[in-house]
Amino acid sequence: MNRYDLIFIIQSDVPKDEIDEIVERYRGIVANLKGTVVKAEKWGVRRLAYKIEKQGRGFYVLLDFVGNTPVIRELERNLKFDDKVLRYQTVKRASQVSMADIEKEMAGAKKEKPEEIKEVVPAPETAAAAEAAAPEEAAPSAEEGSKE
Amino acid sequence: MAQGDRPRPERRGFHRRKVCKFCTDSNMNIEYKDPGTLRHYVSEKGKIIPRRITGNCARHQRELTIAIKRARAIALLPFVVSEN
Repeated sequence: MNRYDLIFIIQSDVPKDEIDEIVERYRGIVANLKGTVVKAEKWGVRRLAYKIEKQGRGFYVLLDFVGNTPVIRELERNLKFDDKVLRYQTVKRASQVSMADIEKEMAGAKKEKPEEIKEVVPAPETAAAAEAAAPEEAAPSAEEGSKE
Repeated sequence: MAQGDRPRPERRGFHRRKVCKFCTDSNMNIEYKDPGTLRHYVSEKGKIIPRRITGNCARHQRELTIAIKRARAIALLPFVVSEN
């Protein structure tokens, strides 16, 4: 069993309940193929760094799960055919993870936040805000590194 | 390049020691899901800033490069920022 991060971007004009439905469906796929969802985070609508399918914004969803390759194969097959999904990316975070560690981690996380799906918004407008500040900011901040 | 707003770097023969930020600060980790940090390491055009300038160590620069590329793939960072 390996641990993966799957990020996918749903069109921003999809209504909220439909987004929940989509996320549930993908969680279901993981569960069906004997995978375990460690966490599912909805980042909310963010500005895209470049347009995808003529859209400037998208709803980001992160699915952190443990599973084997069939899970990914099935997820990606579905994502590919889903017209509401603009982009997806799977990244392997760790291989050969032990279920005991994952359970421990999930138990720890549950204690803090009881609800199943967290509505996490890690600064949704950072992209937009950074975009505005970026042209001037980008270079000087990199320079800071060299000054130290 | 931003001109005029930074001191001129020292001339050759006198080089300032640059320290890798990620080595100094263990709380800072390289994460492709965090475009805020990664933004410091791309130019205003969206290009990855070389190690020579940022002062990162080889290992962290390598991790950073991968993270930036992943972030680009999911539109968290731009591939290019075109003029106008």
